[in-house]
Amino acid sequence: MSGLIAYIVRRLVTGVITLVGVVAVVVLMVQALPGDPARVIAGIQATPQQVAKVRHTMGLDEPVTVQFWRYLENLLHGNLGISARTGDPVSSLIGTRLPYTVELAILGTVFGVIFGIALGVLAATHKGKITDALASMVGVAGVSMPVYWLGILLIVVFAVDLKLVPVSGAATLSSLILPSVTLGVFSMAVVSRMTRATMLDTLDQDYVRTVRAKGVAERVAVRHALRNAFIPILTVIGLQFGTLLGGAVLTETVFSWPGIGQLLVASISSRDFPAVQGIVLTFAAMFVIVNIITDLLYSVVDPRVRLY
Amino acid sequence: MTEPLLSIEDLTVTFRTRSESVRAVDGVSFEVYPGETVGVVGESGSGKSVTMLSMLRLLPRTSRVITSGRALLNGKDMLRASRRELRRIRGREVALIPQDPMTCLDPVLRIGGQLGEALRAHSSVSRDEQRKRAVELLASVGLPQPDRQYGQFPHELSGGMRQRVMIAMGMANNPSLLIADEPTTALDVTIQAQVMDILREAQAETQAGLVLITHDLGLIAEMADRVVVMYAGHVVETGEVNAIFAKPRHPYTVGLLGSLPQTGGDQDWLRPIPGSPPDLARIPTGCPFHPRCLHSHGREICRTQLPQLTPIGSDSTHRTACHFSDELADESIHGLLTVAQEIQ
Amino acid sequence: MNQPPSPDAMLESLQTAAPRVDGSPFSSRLRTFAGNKAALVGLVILLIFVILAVFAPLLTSQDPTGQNLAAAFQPPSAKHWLGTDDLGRDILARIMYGGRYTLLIGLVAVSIATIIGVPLGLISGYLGGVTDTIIQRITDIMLSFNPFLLALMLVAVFGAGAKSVTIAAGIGVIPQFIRLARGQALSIREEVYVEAAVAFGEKPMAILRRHVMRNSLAPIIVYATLNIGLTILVAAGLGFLGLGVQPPAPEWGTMLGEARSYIFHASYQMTFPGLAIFLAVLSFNLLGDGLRDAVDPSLRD
Ligand SMILES: Nc1ncnc2c1ncn2[C@@H]1O[C@H](COP(=O)(O)OP(=O)(O)OP(=O)(O)O)[C@@H](O)[C@H]1O
Ligand code: SF4
Ligand SMILES: [Mg+2]
Repeated sequence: MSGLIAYIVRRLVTGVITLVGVVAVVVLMVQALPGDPARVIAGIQATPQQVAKVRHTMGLDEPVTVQFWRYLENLLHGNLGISARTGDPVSSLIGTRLPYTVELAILGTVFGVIFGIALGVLAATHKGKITDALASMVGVAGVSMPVYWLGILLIVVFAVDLKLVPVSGAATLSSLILPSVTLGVFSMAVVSRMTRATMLDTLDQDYVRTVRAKGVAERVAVRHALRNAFIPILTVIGLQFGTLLGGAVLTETVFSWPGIGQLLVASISSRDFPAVQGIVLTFAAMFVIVNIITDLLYSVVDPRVRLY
Repeated sequence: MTEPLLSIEDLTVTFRTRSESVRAVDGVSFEVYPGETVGVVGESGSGKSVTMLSMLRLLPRTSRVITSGRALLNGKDMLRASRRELRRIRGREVALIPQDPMTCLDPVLRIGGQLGEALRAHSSVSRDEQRKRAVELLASVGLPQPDRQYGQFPHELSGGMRQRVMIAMGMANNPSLLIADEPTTALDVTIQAQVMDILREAQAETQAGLVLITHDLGLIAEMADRVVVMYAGHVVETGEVNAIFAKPRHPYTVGLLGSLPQTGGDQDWLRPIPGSPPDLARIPTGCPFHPRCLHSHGREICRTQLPQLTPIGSDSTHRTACHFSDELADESIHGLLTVAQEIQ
Repeated sequence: MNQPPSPDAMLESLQTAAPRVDGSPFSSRLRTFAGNKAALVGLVILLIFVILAVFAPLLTSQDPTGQNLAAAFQPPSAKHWLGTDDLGRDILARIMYGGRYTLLIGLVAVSIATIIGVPLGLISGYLGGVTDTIIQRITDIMLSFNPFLLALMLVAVFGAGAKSVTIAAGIGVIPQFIRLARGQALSIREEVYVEAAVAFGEKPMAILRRHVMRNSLAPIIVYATLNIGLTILVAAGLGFLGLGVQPPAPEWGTMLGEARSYIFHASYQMTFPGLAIFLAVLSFNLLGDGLRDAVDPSLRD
């Protein structure tokens, strides 16, 4: 058990190192703005005084290493700076919107994982049959689908034409359905492809033959095969979570979903770089955390995996 | 005479791959009677496992397989059994103790769960009952701490312990036929003997028939009543174990016996039969053994005509598939064959 | 023992997904590829897009950018097969010309990613040690953004437009190429001929160029094909947000972004650009899957 804790600590440390790297990237990002960063952030109409004020409050007049350490220090105090657009603390802007993004990401993942696994299992157990061909088509179509287009199509069909769900917003429970499906389709496709490939392998393993030799229903054998296929499936779930977050930016825009993805697009359009920095950092942190969680789940799924 | 427990008739199994078809089993027939042990021997790749797995309908589902012939188990043709019938038969009438205990247990489930599954498959037992039975079974195959092993994962057990678990699992529903596919190859010698004792006890207790697949002729001599010798998917010789060991009548069997380590003499090594088994996608015409046969002497019939399995003299149980098996009645020839094998 | 691979190793192998190259002759690979109907469909779709894009001026007399408000919002008709948009421009013509952006962006972006990512990955895997650690840490950081966010950040800094979108999409997928090439280098490093070269005193860079690079070519081509689809999605996504190729250029993502305002009364305006993106990405994915199977039969099922 202490070994497990040591492992978690080690994973957390590498996660933190990665995030420190991300901080360096977002600090450099502002430095890299063409021309005078303070001018860009303050806006074209800003008076020289306003520009100077932005430069000073963001510490842009100091060497970049100092800015980096200052950003880290502020981060430790939960301070992500002040939004150039609204004047609010970036942390509170993100704080009010993050739950929506988390909700969407979780629902999208759940949709993708459940349907992806189901589709992959169906394809593997019906290999070479029409079910398999259809599942493969759905798989390759899913990874080729532009989420923004899919989102609009779903809106047109289900919200405008059939009027089954609201067009946009996050007001009611049913308004969750279309965005979650839109966001989850890519995950579904990736997970189904991985599930099929791994299940084709595990279904023919000796231990599954042993299960069949016991005289059980085929679905019991499939369950054994699936349990053993879970490690690679978990791995893709973790890896595609990054893509899912990218998709969330677009999905939120399409559905006017009040999460941090939409905030990111708005902040970029208004050159609100303190907000952009904070949001990008938040997305990276979400990715790192999810991948630590999937790593930890390995040992739950497979007793042979020693994490330490 | 009693009815056979298992009767395999003219079984042929072909694997089709993208480019070729592999005939792994070709026209195999033999019977197993209640309480008897039949040894199946032959070099690696001769079709021993495929024969038994196709009877159990447990060949890999992803390969394309064409099977013909019949495999009657207690009178029921397994090759034509429905899914439901298979489900009822497997584990209860026939159990498989597979070739490699390392890969045959589900790595992510505890031993107890896997045994319980076998018990539950054929009877509705309470949870407590099931646990009790499972621990009893583990004890009966000589596991040192059955209660502990019940809760362990396969990777926490040694190879010998896993093989015992496989035997316990096979015996869970007292099947009338046990198929043990090289149950001891993965184990070291002392453990081998223990595992075979346990298998023998288990069989004696239930009067089950046993098919023992092995490379180990010593094991056959010790355990089996009858022998089936396979080569390149064909049965080349079969009979009572004494008859086969004393008076083999097929050049391949002679070779196999000649390749046994000679104890007592000055030679104590294994002399394999020269050459290697044919590519099953390109089995030679005529007698499949002819390219390696030291007794053929290039005679044409060996290359053109497939010898049928025919009884030898009045002994209807001893049958062999060689055009010139009569010549092997003269045992001085055996010595010559063995010497020839040694020279090659 | 059938120990499972460690999670780290799993991750590695999944991220690189390096197809193993077998020794089968080119003709047999070609047969495998040709026998793959899906891949052929991908090739045909791609060829159609290429022809439409290259010969657009010959195939249509419509002006992709000229406005004609009198002809706005026309549904598909004999004159305008796919209808007209909010500014009266022929959607079919815009899609044909827009293919030039899409195909070029995909091709150039992946070339950028390959040219930068592959050498870095090969060096990282071949040299190991501190070099490897540094490159891998940087890759980890880039991976924690994912291609789309990375590209989005880059256009946020350097501004929208065709050039910066192409570069951004390319940089977005660099980490994937680093991982792939590193995996290749790690496995090829163990091969006999590389050991022999080392024994003969060849310099690391020469070995990398001569042996490692050449032998990882096939999987890299497969991976590049699959990533063209991804970069097209990223670039079009930026266009959709208004941060990509700028209007009036008929880039498909940008067209889709413009059409978004009119989904209630002119849904065909958004149908076709989206379909074009989907089909183009699909064609590269089908093609890539087919190439992968041809290069590495063991991955085929
Ligand atoms: N799934 C399969 N697909 C194609 N060919 C197969 C398959 N399974 C077995 N074979 C072929 O069938 C032949 C017989 O295999 P089998 O496993 O029965 O041999 P065996 O006599 O049990 O050998 P061993 O002593 O090594 O266990 C082998 O040569 C193998 O190539
Ligand atoms: S038939 Fe001919 S080749 Fe076959 S075993 Fe007999 S002698 Fe040898
Ligand atoms: Mg075998």
